[in-house]
Amino acid sequence: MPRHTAATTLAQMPSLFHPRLLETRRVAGNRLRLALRHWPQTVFHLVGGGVLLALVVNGVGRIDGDRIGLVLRLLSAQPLLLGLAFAGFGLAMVRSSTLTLAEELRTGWWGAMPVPAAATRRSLQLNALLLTVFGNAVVLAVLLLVVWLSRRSTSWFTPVALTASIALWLGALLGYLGARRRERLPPGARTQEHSSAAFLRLDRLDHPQLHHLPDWQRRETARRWRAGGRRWQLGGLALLIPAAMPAASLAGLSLLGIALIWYGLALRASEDSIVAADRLSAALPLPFPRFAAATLRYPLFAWSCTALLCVIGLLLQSASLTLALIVVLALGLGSLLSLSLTWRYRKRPWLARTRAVAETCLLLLLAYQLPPLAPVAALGLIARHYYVARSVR
Amino acid sequence: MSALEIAGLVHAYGPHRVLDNLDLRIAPGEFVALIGPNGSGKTTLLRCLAGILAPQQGRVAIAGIALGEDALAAKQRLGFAVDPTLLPPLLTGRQCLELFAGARGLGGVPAATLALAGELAFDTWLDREVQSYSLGTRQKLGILLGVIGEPPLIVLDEPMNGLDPLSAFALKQYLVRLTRENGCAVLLATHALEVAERFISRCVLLLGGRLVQDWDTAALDAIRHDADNSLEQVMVEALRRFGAPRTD
Repeated sequence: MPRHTAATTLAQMPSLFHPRLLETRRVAGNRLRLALRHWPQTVFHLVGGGVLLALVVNGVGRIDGDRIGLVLRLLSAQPLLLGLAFAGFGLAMVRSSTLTLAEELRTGWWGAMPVPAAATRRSLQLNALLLTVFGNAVVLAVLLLVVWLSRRSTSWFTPVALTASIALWLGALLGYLGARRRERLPPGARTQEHSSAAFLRLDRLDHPQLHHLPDWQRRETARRWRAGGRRWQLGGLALLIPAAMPAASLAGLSLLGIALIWYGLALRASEDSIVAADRLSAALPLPFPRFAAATLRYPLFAWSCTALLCVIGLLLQSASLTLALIVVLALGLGSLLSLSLTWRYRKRPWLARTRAVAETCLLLLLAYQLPPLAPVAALGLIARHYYVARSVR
Repeated sequence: MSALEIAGLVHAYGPHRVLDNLDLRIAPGEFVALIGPNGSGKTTLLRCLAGILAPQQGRVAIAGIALGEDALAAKQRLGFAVDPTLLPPLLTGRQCLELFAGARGLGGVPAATLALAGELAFDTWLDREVQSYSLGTRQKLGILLGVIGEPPLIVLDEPMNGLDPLSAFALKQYLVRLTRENGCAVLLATHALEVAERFISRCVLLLGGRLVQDWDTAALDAIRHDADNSLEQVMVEALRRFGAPRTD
């Protein structure tokens, strides 16, 4: 007997929003049901999350709120700078999310369905609105946390919170309008993707059925970078640079900041491409070790470039060569941990990201308390993820 | 009124013109196979007429309604099989069908769609999540989503890929029934020429962004009745005649 209840409810609903919203609700319900069905795993994650939260709360409790308060008091005296920073944050956040969602609705599985343009527009507006509310709530929560940790006067709170909130909303509005304007451009006027031959040949990492993957990762990185994926971070970096700074240190800090921002984007783009490649090659008989090796090719190249720039940047900052090498090796280990989690959770990429954040926090805490143990623990985690990833079908 | 009317369609990826001033008209009840070598523009054409890609020039009208002028009304008259790789992994097949039925304003998943699900041996998969499906099972769901509500024009891109022989046969029978009894027009992009030859009423060959050959029902009947001839053979001859690039 066909079950018509849910669809009847859908049909009776006015088409105020795109059905993608209902899809999101259904997915959330299914995710919850899945978590209940696999309850031992869920309990494990909850306990792990609880332990991590306790560690974070303990760590946060030790932060000197007065020092941050002092910085915020200084910032409150520069409302234009503060406003620009938060406007940039709002703009980048909403612009990127609106563009991604609009593209998904236009070219994804809903692409050919009859959905009123007004419903799509309202859904994009709702998405931007919710994202801005969430972003603003996070900003206010962080400021309130600093107030809670401060023992001295917190008179900076109202001007900073007001400036940040107004700027965030203005930036978000500009981000939404900019994204909609870009969406209306003819396809040829949007960012063009070009492909080219690999810069370096690394035959041991190549796989005949996956020789396009590194190029795919590279093009995805270039596309996101050109689309202004990390513009707000670059803006933040510009604001962090003090006015009176020696030229060498300034060059070093800029080099270091830009290299790390670009590398973060490259790693994220590479991981998203791995998930997509895995989905597309699901029917191919690919041995996992070869698949994993092929996915490493571009991130390895990106890390090499970033490592070189970071070492130069740190040396210009008067750091020792040993420290510079430790930093780039730690960056490499962190990246490998993130990639190994992507291999392991390639069917559930959201879980890979959550665990990457959690495990990185734990490793940083370990590095702070027992430095020599941190790389050993990182290698152990990477090996474990790789081992589990081999049996994922 | 035509089920599909395409006039002067142009689409380019950068400097490369994939569709070059293409014209095509399909009448209601026609079962048309769109054939052509890899890279000839079949998928681009289908995505243009589904409104997923915006062509640079030209006009697409579905059941008399121009896609560029009233996209909503035009898409209501179009069924487009979903690419299996785009299906949401965390929804069940039934939830996908219900969402699409809702978006089309239907009171529920139509009985005809559920019957086809049974014929494709998909009914046992209806309440499982898409992430547990094989490629062929995803393909079946993509097809079911395309034919839901049986609109006047149904467009399918390589629907036989990954289907087992029983399901492929059931799908062909269903599409023939749809064109003959309901008057729906079907446009099917395929490389499976033996499939096309047996079931279709018309075949068009796409090459270099243009339709270079059109075999109507009479021409197809002549091929079917000639024991020494086949659609594959006439297509190869046509490709050689029009100078298609050799792949060997």
